[in-house]
Amino acid sequence: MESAPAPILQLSGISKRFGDFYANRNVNFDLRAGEVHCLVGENGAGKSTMMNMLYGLLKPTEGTISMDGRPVEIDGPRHAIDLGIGMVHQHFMLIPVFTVAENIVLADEPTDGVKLDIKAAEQRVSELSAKYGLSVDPTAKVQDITVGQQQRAEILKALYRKARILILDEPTAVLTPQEIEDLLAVVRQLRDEGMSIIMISHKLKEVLSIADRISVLRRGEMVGTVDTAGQTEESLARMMVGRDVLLKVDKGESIPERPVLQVENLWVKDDRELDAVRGATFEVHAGEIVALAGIDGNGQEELVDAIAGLRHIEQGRIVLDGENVTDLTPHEVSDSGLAHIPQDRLRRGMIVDFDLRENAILHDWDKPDMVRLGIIDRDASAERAQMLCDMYDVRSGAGISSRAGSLSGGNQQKLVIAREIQRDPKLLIAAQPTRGVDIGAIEFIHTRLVEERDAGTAVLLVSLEMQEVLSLADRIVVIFEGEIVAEFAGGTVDEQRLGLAMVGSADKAGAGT
Amino acid sequence: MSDFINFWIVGLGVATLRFATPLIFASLGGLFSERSGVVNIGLEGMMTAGAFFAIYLSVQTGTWTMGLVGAMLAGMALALLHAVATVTFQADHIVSGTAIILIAGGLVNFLNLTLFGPEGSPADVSTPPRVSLGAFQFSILVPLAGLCVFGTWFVIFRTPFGLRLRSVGEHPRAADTVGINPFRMRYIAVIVSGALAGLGGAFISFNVSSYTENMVAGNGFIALAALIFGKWKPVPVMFACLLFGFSQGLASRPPGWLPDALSSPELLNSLPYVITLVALAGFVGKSIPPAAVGKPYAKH
Amino acid sequence: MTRRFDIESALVPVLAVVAAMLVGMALIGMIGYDPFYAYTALIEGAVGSPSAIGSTLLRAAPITLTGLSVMIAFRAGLFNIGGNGQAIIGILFAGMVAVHAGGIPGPFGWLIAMTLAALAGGLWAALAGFLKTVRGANEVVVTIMLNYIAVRIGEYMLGLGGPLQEKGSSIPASAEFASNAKLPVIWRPDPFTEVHVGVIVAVLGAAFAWFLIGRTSLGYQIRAVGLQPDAAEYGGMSVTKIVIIAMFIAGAYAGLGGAVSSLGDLDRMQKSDFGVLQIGFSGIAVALLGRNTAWGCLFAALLMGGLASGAVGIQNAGALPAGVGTKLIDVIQGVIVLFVGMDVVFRRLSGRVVGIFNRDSNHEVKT
Repeated sequence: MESAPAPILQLSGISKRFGDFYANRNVNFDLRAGEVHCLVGENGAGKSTMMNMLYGLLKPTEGTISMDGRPVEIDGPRHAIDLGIGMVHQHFMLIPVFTVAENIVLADEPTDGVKLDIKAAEQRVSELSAKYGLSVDPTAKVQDITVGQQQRAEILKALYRKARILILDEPTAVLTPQEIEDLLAVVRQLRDEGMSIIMISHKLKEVLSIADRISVLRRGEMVGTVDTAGQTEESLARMMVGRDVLLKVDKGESIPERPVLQVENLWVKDDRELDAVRGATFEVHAGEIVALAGIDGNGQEELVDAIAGLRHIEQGRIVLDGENVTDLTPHEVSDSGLAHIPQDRLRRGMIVDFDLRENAILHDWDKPDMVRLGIIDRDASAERAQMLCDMYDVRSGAGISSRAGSLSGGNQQKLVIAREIQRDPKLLIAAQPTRGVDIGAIEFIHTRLVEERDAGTAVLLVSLEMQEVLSLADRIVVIFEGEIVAEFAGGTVDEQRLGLAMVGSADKAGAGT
Repeated sequence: MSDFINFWIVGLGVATLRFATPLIFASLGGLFSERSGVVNIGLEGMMTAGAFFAIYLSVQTGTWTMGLVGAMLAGMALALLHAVATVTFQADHIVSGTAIILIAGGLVNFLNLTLFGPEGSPADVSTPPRVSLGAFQFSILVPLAGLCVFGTWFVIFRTPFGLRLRSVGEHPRAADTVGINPFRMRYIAVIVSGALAGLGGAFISFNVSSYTENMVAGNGFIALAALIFGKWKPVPVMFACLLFGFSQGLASRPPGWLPDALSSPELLNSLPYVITLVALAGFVGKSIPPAAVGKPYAKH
Repeated sequence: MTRRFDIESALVPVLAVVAAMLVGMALIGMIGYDPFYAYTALIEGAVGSPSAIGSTLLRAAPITLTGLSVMIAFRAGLFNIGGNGQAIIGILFAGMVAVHAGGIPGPFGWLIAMTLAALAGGLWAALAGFLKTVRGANEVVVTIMLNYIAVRIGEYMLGLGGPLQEKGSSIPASAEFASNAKLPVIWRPDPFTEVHVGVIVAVLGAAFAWFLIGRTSLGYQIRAVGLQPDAAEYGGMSVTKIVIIAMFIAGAYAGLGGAVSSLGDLDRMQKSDFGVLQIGFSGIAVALLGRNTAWGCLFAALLMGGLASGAVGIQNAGALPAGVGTKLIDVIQGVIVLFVGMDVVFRRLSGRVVGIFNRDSNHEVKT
């Protein structure tokens, strides 16, 4: 019997408090030399907070961090680097206008006298990249290379600094399936070379395939650490959520009527002027919920923006209840019968520094029932806001004169949904309507969407959550790399087949019903 | 023919250099500051302070070198104020810059009146020596400005310090995660900026051997324009300054063959601003500033 | 728009003014004069007599308008450093009318002059709004450039042989304004102080700005665009259009400010006036000190006007060497801007001041 190897890194009783809120509470965690230790948990479970403490970006409120058995106080990234900790952040910490080599050597530059020796830097990067199979051109500017290459540059940054411990914060979130495979291979190779790795993820399949041990965080607290052997996705999911959750929505059969939204061969570019939507064609009928399913960043956002008139359409046609709305302004599309629950309520859906009364009339600044002679009718807008709050149970500190930003996420979202549904639209687009919303509000929101459907509205649901798609949709269209790659009738598809379709490898036989 | 040469080559050449030199110093100062992410519209104020303290210290000590040191220190002191406001207290860079201009203008004129009295500075001021190059004669600060262009280019683009400074101006959090202290880098850059702007101001007052109110007269803003027109790169910035200096030189001695309507010195003087507007509007190659310029940086 | 009274936020400007006055005291002491005597003279000069009050009002009027200009642009998310340029364009147009207003009946002289000043200033500023939204040019630099272009245009127009220079004169100045283009006097506290209708224009301007921003659909759109352009676009507003309109209104205010200062206080335009014009910059200080509210601008302008008028009091009392008083006020104004800009410090400080008063209710609020 050999005893378990001593941990290279140990967190004991770590807490991090922001005001009254505990992002981490009494967390214990250890990392053994040469293991891949995955850290899983839902959004907001405190994973990133924990890693930021390890990297010296945050200081723990309580508890101790030890390395090689000795307690350390990590007082900054520089100190973390000196201790041999490297971190690849979820949002890359790369400077777009610098070259790969410049990014990697930054703050530890090779010099020739007082001069920066950029040739030596490129040389060192080439050597490292050859050694670990992380191919990337050291002389290329970061803004010109792919996301996968940028990630390799990030890993090289840690290797260049002689990291012994590598923290990867949701490294696969932004990658294509092929890039994910490559990354996991690199992670395995690094482990075999003796690197100790902490990887944050909430993709359980990946976690099971790469981890030696898995730790689960829930609401800032450590639920437990387990060996990967013997775990399943279900067992991990249960640990993450704390109970078996299956979102069940009570809904009857849908009775689709006339087509309300017709999207025909739509082409839209993203902010970088690349094709984001490529020839999408689909319909949404009155009285049905169509879910647009896909992994984040496959053109959903651009597609929705194009329908709402918020983004230029390169080619194709959008028809809203018989009316061609292709080149209309957002205001005109909205007047033609579109209500839109935007994906990012804090950026688009509401003005956080306006009060609820003013937010209630975001589309109505020219409507005769709210504005007369260019002057806003305060009573009418207050009445409207009060009605929305009452109907959708929006809770706020100071009623309709509360600042929208002071509401909880769920209440903010309810306000947005109330405002949009109350406009009695022909088409309702709900883009990630339950993102960042608590369980209670999720059920409420789902019920409302079904009610809207039953009232004869065409509902287009855009969601990244497979569960939400499966439980709400009457029909599912799958978008992958800007193309509609599959379509399923609701209830005819399981998580596995939908998941395959979402990564672009649908079995063509089942698709396109 | 020799009139032509006198006018064109010597006269206009010297005038161009005379007008361009303070712009070069100040815009290089702006370059340091903005490359680190701090907008510095306070250059105008720092130049004003430099103009006054160059004369004051030169009078007090009897040597122009001390005048130069004084000009730099005065610029640096104001720059320090700007850095404290913008870097430490995250004040809006434009607001702080405006304050610097108001404070510098008021304070310098306050001191001018109380230290020199209503008659102004005495007539015998020690000023930097002139050097001759053939028919050209100019202050030794002119070649010093050229040296500063080269020095700035070298420091910003060829040294580890420059790489770090630019990283802070582009993505301070990324710099922070590899252990660069964005606050410290920005302090250094802004203070260097003040020293250079102070030198620019010193050139203006040394050139006429005295300080008078409002003598900087918008040069700080033209320097800012040159910085944008030169796309935040030292050598192009220098050429922008020369171009702007040339148009000012032309305005100071409009050539006879220009039609009357165009030879108005006022309109010729507005050329730098018009050119910059056109450049800003993206009609002649877009100027893209450092990504994080003007944005306060805060830890989590 | 709801604005709950936020005592901490209201204390920031007060503390900034106090701090700036202390800096001023230190400066006075430093040159060996008596700060208390100087400040007494300052207060005398600002509010110590009817004519002092009149002088304060006269100085407050134009900077109220330029302050409102900066405030309105701020609300649309733009920093209007161009008040000086817009005021100059306003002065030129108002002056052009004023010089020839002899043939215009009665009060229409100054009314037409003021209207043209507002329109011209507005268009000048709208250009910056256009370049910002359509061409992506930073409005700060654009308005600075436009300031200097306006200065040069003004100097050209009034330079020897310029289109607005008085024919046959060898002075770089315009002909005298017609008497019906001068702003009517509403109060004459002493023979040398003539308080004109510009003061009323300033108060009406503040009232209109308050109504526009807080009550109208346009104001709603301006605020939405300024706070969250993406949300404004989502709400169907045209960000481009609103920014340009807001800049037009801002420029109109600055143009009016220029016209008030010119038609109210001067008899003609002079070439040398343009380079040293300060009301645009003062407008920035006014807007910041007034915390970007209409009535705040009015109060801040009164304070700044009082300081400027007080500088004359210092001069008359001989409390400081000749000319030094106005320079001191410039410094104080700059320090106020700096301190208001460093809001964080003052929030912390004023939070503490408030904390002293309500120590009992200082329990933590659960969220």
